[in-house]
Amino acid sequence: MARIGVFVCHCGENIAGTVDVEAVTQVAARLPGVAHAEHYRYMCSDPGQKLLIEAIKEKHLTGVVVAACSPSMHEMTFRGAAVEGGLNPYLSEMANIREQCSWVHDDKAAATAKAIDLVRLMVEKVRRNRPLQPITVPVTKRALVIGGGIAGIQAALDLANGGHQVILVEREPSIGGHMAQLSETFPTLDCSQCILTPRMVEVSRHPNITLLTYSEVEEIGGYVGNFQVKIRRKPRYVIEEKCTNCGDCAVVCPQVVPNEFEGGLSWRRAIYTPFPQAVPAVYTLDEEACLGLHPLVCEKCFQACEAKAIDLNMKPEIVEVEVGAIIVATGYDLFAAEQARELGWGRFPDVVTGLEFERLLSASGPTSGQMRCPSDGRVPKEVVFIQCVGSRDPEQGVPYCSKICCMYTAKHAMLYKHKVPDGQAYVFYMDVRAGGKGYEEFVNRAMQEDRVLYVRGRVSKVFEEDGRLKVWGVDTLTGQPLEIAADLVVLATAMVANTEHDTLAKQLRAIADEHGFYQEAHPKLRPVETLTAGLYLAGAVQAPKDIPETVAQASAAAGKVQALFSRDELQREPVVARVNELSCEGCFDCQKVCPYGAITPEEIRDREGNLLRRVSNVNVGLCEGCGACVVACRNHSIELEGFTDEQIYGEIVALWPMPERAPERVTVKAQRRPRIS
Amino acid sequence: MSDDNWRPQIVAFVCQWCTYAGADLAGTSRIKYDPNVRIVKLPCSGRIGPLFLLKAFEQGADGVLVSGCHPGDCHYVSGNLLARRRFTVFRELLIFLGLEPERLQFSWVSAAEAVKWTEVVDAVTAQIRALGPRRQGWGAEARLQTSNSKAQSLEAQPGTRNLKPGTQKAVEEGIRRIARQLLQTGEAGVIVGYGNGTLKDVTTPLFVTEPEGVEQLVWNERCLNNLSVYLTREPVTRLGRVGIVAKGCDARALVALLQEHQIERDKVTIIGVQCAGMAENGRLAARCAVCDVHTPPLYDHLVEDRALDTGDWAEGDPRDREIAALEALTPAERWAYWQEQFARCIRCYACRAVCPLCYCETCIADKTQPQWVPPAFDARGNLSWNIVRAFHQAGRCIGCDECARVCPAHIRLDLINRKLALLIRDAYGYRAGYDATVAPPLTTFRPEDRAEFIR
Amino acid sequence: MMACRMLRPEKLEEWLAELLRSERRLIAPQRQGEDVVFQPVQTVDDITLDYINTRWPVKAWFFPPSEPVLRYRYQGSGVELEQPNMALEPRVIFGVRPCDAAGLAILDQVFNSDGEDEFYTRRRTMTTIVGLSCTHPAASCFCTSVGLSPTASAGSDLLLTPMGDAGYLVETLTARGEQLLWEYGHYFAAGECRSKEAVTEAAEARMSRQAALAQGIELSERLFEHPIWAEVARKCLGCGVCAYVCPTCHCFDIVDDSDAWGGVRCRNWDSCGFSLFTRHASGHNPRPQQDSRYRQRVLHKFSYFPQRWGRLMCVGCGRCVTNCPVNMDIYATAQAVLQVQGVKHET
Repeated sequence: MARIGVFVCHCGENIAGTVDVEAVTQVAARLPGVAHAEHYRYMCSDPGQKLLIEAIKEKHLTGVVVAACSPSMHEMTFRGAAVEGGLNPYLSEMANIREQCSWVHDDKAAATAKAIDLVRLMVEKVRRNRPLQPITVPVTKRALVIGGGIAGIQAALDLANGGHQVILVEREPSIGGHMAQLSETFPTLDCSQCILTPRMVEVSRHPNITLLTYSEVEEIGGYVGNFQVKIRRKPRYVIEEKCTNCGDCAVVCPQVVPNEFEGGLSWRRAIYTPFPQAVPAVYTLDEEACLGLHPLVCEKCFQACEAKAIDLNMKPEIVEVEVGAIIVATGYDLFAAEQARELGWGRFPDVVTGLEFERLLSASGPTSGQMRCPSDGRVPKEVVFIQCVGSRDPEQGVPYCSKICCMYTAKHAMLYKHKVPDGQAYVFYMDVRAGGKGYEEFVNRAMQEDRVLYVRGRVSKVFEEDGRLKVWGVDTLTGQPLEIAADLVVLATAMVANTEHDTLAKQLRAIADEHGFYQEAHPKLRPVETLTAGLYLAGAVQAPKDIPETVAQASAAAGKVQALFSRDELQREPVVARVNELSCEGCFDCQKVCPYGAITPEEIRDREGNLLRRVSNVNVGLCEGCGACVVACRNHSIELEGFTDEQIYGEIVALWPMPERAPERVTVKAQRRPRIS
Repeated sequence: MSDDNWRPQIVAFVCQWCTYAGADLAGTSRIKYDPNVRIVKLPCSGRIGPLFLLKAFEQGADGVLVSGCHPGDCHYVSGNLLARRRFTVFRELLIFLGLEPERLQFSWVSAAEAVKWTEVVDAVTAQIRALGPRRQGWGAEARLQTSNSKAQSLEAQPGTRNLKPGTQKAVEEGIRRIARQLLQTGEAGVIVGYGNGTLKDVTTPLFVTEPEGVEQLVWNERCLNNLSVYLTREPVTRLGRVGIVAKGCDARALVALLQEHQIERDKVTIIGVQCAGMAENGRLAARCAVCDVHTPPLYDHLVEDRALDTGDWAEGDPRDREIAALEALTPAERWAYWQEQFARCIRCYACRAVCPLCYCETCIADKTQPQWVPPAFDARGNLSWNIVRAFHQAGRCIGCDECARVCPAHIRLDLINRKLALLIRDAYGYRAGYDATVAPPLTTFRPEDRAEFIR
Repeated sequence: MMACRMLRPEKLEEWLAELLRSERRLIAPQRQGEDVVFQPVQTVDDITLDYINTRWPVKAWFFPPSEPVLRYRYQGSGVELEQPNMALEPRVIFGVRPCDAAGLAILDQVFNSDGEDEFYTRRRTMTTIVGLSCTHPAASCFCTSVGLSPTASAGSDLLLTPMGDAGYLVETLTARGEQLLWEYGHYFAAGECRSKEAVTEAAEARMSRQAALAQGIELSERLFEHPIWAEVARKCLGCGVCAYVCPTCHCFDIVDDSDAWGGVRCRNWDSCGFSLFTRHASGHNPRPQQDSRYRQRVLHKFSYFPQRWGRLMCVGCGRCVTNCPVNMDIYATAQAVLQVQGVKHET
């Protein structure tokens, strides 16, 4: 039997000045299931709460309704008081008769009638409330960071310095990411490798970080606090612990392939190290480039290695780890420049992308930092930089702005001018976007100090004529078409999502938007979390951004993980869904509507192991309690605790007495006589 | 009760993150508004189901308001985006059945939009006041038959195509041949097809387990039953792997069953039959007049009908004219039409039993905790059952019209089903029963879904 | 009750017109769309005699599909009970076929078996049944196979049998019938009682379905567990149509339709074909599949009821056969079952 206690708060004059609290209390006292009703000046005060606690104990109440302010104010207060009285906190509800009644209505009679209705509604709900226990989920205090670029490095270091174990997984042979390929960074023009490599070394030496390079995430199961991850370590055929980085193996390797780190502008051997400052500082044998391992064709590297660090029989290894949180920092890729067919990348060797130009600028690059044309090695005197190649282009490319290209093009033009002071740099732009700290000033330096010529207009064609590259564009400010005979053309290609984002997203149960960037939980207020609890984002995997923003996001993500790890157990609100397996028909509409991937099929088998049927199963670690599944289920086989169909039904049927139900005034007739046999 | 004393009874179902907070802000800001609305708080507009709205009307609501976060702002990502489609379809259904549109209203009110909340409440209350108390029928006494008023006669226009017997004998032999082969090879343990019934011009579902038995399989223009319903019936599936004779409409039901994981593709053999159309009352059935699956969209074997003339079938579904005629009526007239229809309902649930997509062993109408569908066979209960049935079929019904055929009270269930199918086709570009790989329309959404009726 | 009169054809309409003007409610067959159904009459022109049988049996006028039996209101911690309005005007139902009337005779036994069902009985005592014999049965009719005939009199208060140009033979069968005849005696001609035998024979000869089912089915464990039930029931979809259109089916469910204020207790038609019909509160269902449920239906009509009450519970009206979505045919099933038993059932 229900024994509900109703407590009507005056809130001083805030409620009592408009609502007749005495009348509300009297009506409440007569409601079915109510065992106690009283009103008091300030229910949230200590004496007020004491009333509640005492009433629970003395009257053996099974639930309480506090008619007062909004639950957003004091739901927690009265839940706490209920607990002190010995009642489950989810058996306490509030009827909002202040913000949604006394404060917004002048008509006292109407306000009182409304307050009575609202109290009755909540009494009917509380009668149907069930005690709920918070869901505790243990937390494994180890983090997985996927991606070893600057974002992953920053996040890993923050977490490791915070005292937590971190596993950093990188698919390339070395960490460093795209930042390692850069020459100088804007707006300071400091050397990218110089600021990056100390971090990389710190990662490799940090006792809390396990660095797994040349590895990829194979499978992820589980949920926040309890992820089970399988990592595939690709065989590099070099024993990391033994390799001394001497390079003797590469000298004798007969096979030569284009060097990806250099953007294909130079070569490397099949056994190689991607760049001198690579971390780990070891060599890697590229199985695809090698003349053959199975069967073995050549073993010159093996013979050349004095440290006996080469193992040509190495196999891939699966490492299984348990982690409590995952930070995805897999970075970006660049728009395939050959798709801008009119600009000639791939047809003309002197048309290069921005990243390739970085390598030309870099002291450790294919030209040792000398500004040279890739085709014939001459010094380019006329360089055309084309912005927005693929960006802001819904038809041929992507509709968004890639954010960094205006800045790095200005940087490129400045650095070119520093290297070739008598050269001429042109930048074709649509807008110049320089919003960061010192960014606008940086661009102005390019224009004013380095005399880079900015032309507002687009390029329609790059072609070859009489052995020269010609660039056709337009200057929209003067309205004049332009033709420039260029030695080098640099394309600022769009930042696009990492090409493997799709497979990884599926494994992570992450949502990627239509461009492949992973979706944050809220665009403004939750930029580093995702909708999957325990999964966080850092860097360009989420959207195009520059290095300062990337580092900030990485630290933010690490901060979130630290907060998660600050407890041994995660307590989740028990407002979660529950499946009635007896009536579930296995249509899985609930699974289709769940935004959190919290519902999966479960097999029901008989004692012999025969499959009887499949039903839905809710992972309470992932369920956020929205209730979309409940509405999707046609035959009510899934329920949302705290907002069950019965509770809402109870509220609805308590709203108004049905006039058609009003009985005729007829005396009660005698009952039917039961048959006695 | 004099009109002066009548206070509109309005309930608002709101989400706790946006609209409820917005209403709180109105309170904090002391903005005054009409006191006739009662708020029921839910975690998300995605939790607000049509059953709530229906029950509110049944319990005396003169008006119902539903409010949540703006699209794109849902605290739970997509609740309101799913709800947007659901509300669109449910609202259209109720309007089609004669509800005044102003009685069921929707809004997106954010936590910051205190003023908007008060304006919405005041505007909705004023509109409900102008409409007056809700009509009888949402709570009337049990009624036996229709009142003495004549039912509005909306005669179906005859299909303009005459029935073509086609080469029925050849098709019949084709079915028997394949059935025999499947049973002999063991690919099927039971063939589900049509046999001669016990009365003239009636066929009956037939289950053949021995190759000799295939001689009882028949094919003619009276093969009306949608046999797909048997694929979720254990007494049939226990006989072995099923080989099913399927017309185009039946195959569409199979596609829908695949979509909803009720059958597995590799566990059934589909004997598709090219169908020239079925007869009802001596004429081509309305649904056949506009059929685009004379060749079934899914099959393992196909029995061709050489005489099948696939040109010039449709001159429009005659029921579309009936729907248009109904929609041209005033809400009160439409309400009267459907009240009369549903007054004849005796809750035999033949419509449910015969529908391949009503496979739930325990139907929502049979559930009692809570009892969403009122059990009495009165105006209120019958309206509720028929609304729930129609809504559960929205986006799933493949238009075989079996429900309308078997209804002993000749209720025009086919009009309601078709109305919703047209709505979903036009609003979401979706037709049920063609592609088993896509998500059913009410389990998904597009950012550009329109719902201009939402304030 | 052997009195008989004649009613000339032209007098029928006049009589009905006067009945319409009386304080009795006149209910008679009228067109509704493609069907003929019993409805309260507004004008005599609406009445039709052009039907073999009405869509719904006449039982609904005595045992409605859904009726409130009790209302209640919560008052504090208690409950206030109220009786629904029981007032009813006297009625005449004209045009009830012998099969339907015989169904009423069966329901009379059921609803008075365990005390008196006042809801049913009240309506029965306030109603006079004017039966109308059949001359042209439908292809689905088989009343003769279950021991009835197109001119049977069980259940009627007055029975009209068409005798061609001479009009209708009017048999008075009960006191209620006699009362009505007396009140409207000026329409009825006294005279020689013609025999309706010829009419009966002619009608029976037109009946295509003839079998010896009146003996019923003798129950044995072998029969009960026989696999024939699974075979015949395989296509049954478990709806309630057969039970609802049947003149004799009478199972009902008592349900409460309530809210926070009170509620109504209703008696609703129920069907043994529904899967929930025998489900226990524990979740166990002793009739888990359609085979046991259909067996129940057939044996109730042909075995259990006859054992208890001495007559079959099927009147051969054929409505279950014509209305069944999948052509379940109890006439064919009964023969198949008798066949299994080795009992002769052909005539």
